[in-house]
Amino acid sequence: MRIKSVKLDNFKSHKNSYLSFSPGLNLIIGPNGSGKSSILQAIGFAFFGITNRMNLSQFITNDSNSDRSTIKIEFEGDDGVSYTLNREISTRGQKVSLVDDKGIIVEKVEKVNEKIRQIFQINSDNPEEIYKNVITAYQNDITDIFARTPAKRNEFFNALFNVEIYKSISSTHVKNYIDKLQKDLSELNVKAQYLESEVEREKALDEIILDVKNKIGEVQKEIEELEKQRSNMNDFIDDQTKIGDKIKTLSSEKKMYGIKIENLQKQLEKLLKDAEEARSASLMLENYLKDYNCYNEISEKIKKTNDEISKIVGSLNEIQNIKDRISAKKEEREKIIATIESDRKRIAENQKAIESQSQDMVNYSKNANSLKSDLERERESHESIMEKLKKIKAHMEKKDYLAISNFFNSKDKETFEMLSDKIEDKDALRNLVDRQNEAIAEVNSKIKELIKAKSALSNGICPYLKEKCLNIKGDSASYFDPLIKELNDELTNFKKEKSEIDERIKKSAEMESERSKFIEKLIDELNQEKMEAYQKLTKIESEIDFQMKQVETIQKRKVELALANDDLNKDISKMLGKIDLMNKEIDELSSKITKENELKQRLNFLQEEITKDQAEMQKVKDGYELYNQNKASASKLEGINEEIEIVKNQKRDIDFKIEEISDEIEKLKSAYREDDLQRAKSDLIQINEKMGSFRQKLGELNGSLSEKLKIKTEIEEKKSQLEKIKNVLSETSKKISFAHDLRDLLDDMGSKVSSTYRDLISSKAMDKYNMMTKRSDIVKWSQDYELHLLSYAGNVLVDRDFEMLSGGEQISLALAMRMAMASFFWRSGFAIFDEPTVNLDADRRSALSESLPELLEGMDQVIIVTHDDTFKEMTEKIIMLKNIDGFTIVEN
Amino acid sequence: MKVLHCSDLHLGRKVSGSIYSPYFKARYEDYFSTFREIVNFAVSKGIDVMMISGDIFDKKDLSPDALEKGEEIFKDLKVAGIKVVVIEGNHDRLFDFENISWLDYLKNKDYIIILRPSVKEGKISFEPWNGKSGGMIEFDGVKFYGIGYQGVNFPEYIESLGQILDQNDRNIVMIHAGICGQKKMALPGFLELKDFAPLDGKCFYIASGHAHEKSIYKLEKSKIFIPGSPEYWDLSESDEKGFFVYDTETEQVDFFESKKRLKIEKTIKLQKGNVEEFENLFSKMIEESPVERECIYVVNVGIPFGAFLNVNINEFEDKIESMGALKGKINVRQFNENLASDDGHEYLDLYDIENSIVSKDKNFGKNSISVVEAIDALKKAALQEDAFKIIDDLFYRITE
Repeated sequence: MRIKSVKLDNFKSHKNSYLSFSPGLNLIIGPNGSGKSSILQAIGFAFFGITNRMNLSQFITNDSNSDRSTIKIEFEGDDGVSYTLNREISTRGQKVSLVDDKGIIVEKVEKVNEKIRQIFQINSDNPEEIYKNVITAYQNDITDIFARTPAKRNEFFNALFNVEIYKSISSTHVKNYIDKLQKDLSELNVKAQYLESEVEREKALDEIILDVKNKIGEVQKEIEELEKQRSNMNDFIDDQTKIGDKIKTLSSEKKMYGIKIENLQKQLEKLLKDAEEARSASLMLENYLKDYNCYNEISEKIKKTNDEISKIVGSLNEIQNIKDRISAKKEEREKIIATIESDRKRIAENQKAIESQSQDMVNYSKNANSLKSDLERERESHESIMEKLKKIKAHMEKKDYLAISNFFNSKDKETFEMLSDKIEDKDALRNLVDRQNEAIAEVNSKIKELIKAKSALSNGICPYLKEKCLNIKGDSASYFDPLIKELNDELTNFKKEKSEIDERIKKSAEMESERSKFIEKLIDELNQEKMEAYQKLTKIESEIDFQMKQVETIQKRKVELALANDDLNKDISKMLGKIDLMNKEIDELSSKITKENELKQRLNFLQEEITKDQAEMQKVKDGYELYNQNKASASKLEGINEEIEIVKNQKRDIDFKIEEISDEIEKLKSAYREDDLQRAKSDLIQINEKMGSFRQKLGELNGSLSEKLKIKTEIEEKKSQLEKIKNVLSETSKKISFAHDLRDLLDDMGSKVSSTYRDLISSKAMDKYNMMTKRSDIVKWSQDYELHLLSYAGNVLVDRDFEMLSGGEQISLALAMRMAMASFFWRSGFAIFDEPTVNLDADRRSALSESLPELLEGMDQVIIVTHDDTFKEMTEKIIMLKNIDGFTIVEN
Repeated sequence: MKVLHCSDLHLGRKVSGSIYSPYFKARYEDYFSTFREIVNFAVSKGIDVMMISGDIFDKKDLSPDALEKGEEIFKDLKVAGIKVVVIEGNHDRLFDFENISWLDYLKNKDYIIILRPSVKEGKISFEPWNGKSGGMIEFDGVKFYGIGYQGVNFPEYIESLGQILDQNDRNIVMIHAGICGQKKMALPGFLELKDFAPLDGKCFYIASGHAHEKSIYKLEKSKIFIPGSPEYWDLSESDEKGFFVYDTETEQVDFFESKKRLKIEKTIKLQKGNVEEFENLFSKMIEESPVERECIYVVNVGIPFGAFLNVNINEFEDKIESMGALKGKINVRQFNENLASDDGHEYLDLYDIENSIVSKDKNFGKNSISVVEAIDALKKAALQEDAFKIIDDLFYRITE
């Protein structure tokens, strides 16, 4: 096990400390109060929750804004797995988590504790004690724990080895166990005694039960005997009752058959009478058979004749029908012929119309063509006016008024040219005005300057030299006024000239406006001409349009008429075909009506035949009717005879049955004994009474028996309970004895465990001590944890206790003991020493320094907190701490 | 499908001592040749899959020679078409700050498949093998899951896997964890049987490693198989070692001893502890158990407590080697009735101490383990009812 780094935030004086550790020896050096011990405290708390009775909130840095402190330790187990342990303390409590290098997180406190115990390989039930006393050593504890008084040593090592636990288990758990069992034992004994007395009380029960059972047996025998008698009697009664019932049944059956026989006799007589009637009807049939047959023959013949007549009538009707159809066809044919005639007339009319339209069309075309040449002429005139306007506009833009003058007629042209001559160049006039204005401005400014100079000189100062004028001597008016007047005259002239020029400009503008009006008038006239030309043009165009539309309409009409004639011709040819077809049909129908006369003759003949036959029939009609009347009754004769035979047979059967029944009744009567039956019935009542009394007795006996048996079961139950209790009692006694043995074992166990620990540790320590000191002394650790060193002085073995050893020997032995303990409780090669040199004399200090390399050899990591430099030379890593303003500063 | 399961090969192990000594050189080769024998067996018996439950190499920082030798053997497995599925042991575990391990090197050359669970935001999952990484691979309908060495955090991984496994599937779980059985040990990487409960009934075969002696543990439904290291990693080891062959069709498992170096181990217990006594007993021992060629001959000498044996041990070790042994090793220990068991092994912890005390008790001696466990439970029992139950249980176990 080795710590790789420790990070502390807000932990006591560590506001924010990061310490990285190396394998081997690490020194944490710093003056008192620099936060050295806090680091150890943090490690102990992080791994094992050790607080040294401090309140958790005391760990949190006093001067901090945060209300929590955190400890983060990265370390590597012996197996090479890296873990990170986090502990966070806040005023509300603490949180812990252990994360391995694959990211598995364990957070529950008990689980983390168990995993830490496993990673540190601590073989003890109380790992905190091992950590506090074996893994870490505080100041002089290295030697002090062996140098204390026997009582203190016992207290310390018994706690470390946890040897008091066995007595504690014995005196609490096991003792309570025994006490409880003792209590159980006495309670069970009371129960057992009670059950035994109960069993004793019912000792005679079995004999009583046997006696009752015997009595029950006797009564049951009596009942069985009576049961037998009753059964016999019941059999006899049943038998006789059955015979009596049978006789009654048979007698009523016989009576029923007698009635049936009478009915059958009546039926037979009626049948015989019917048979007689049928026979006389048969004789009548023989007499009138001839008439009957004759009648039938004639009737048949008439029927046939009638059939033929009706056929002929049908044929005649058919002929009439055909005649009607022929005349209808002929009528239709006439109508079609008429239609054809009218269609032909229409065709001729249409043809005429087409011819007249063609003439119209030629006329319209001619008109259109002559209009088109008019149109062309008008269009040219219109375009020429447009051209003129366009040119005038262009000349105006160019201000080419000479060119414009050519568009006027001769009189207007003269006037226009005259106006143009009178108009002066506007720009030249404007230049003259400007020049005039400039001259006026120049004269004005000269006048102003002279007035200013005049006023300056009036003060005696020369306006040009800016000093006192010596020439004019202050008379400025006389010098300047003539100059000013001259200039004013010049100004008046200039103004006059300017007004003349202004007049010329005005006149010229008037002329120009007049000329413009002239031009406007010209344009208006041309526009008027243009409008008129355009109106003419559109008029001709619409006229042409009308003529062309007429041609188009006529063309369309002509086509329509030609099409109508085509349709009419087609209809006519269709109707002609139809007429051909009708002619054929009429011919066909006419051929069907040729047989009419022949049929009429045949009809007359047949009607005469029927009249003859009907007279014949009348002659045999009476015989025929008599025959028919008797036919039905004669036909019944055979059926009646059969029925007579059936009735006779039925009658015979019933007679036979009646005879049988009478015989059986006779037989039964001889077996029936009325007197014996009555006697048996009264005997049976007596037997039932007897049986009732026996049954009652039996019930009483059974009740008594079941009561006794119930008691017996209860007793059996109690016996088995008793047996069980006896078993439990025996087991409990065994348990008590076992528990006593266990107590003996446990009571003795602590001292044995202690003794074994002492032997084991001292034996290991001896090896280490001799290795360190290169000696072959014997180490013994006796009762009360008193250490002895046995050394040979020559051949004499000298025994010294710890107090008697030199300081160096004490340190060496104590370190050897610690290593031995560590290797036993703590497989992980990790140890912490907190200020081990404090209070050590020079001898001890040098011994410790010399022994340390030996100690380090088997260790992964040792952390020593110190304020001096005893171990500096052998150190892998030194961590220096400083205290600045109450906070720790780490220098790795 | 036939699956061979071995573990803890520790290829490239260098024993302590001079690197020029024949012992050092021979032992360096021993680990390779033992593995070579296993591979020959696999090839000749038509094994389909070879599982190696961790510690393939002895050290993460490997010498080039060890890698070359190891690669040669893995090459033969690849040629024979035997799929090799491995997990990392504590000796070859990859740590977060390292980019690639030698196992990754072999994986990248397609010699092996390394199964590693993935952890994201503290959650563990077993992704199917994608040709480069994964925590599960399926061959012929059998799913192989791998949990490499995880220090003290094995229970978390087992719990997660237990939730994933479907008992209707045919599952094999590979894990580099030893089992401390009934004896409680505070050692990382060792688990109690109850820690395996989440896997029970969800896989027939749990292929374990880490411990160097062969053992089979039975859960209620599943079994845990530890083949042991095929060669002695440490001379104090003295148990059965080898590999298992598991037939997934018949579910039969057979154990085969590995061909390791011959080791003869003897104990001499001195009563007086002087030189003469030692020499006598030493000669007698050699006579009874002669040294064999190229063997390792270990002698454990116990001397009485407080006695000093004035013998040059090296001289006697040389003597053994001169008789043909590759290595003679003599361990001298003081013995005390209370400090060692009958076979001379030192007590390691409180459990051993308590066990030795109880085993000498006239009433409880025969049931010392049960009693020590009960005492341990009573130490932790907070409630009276719990304590009574512990004592009752102990009573019935003893009177059974």
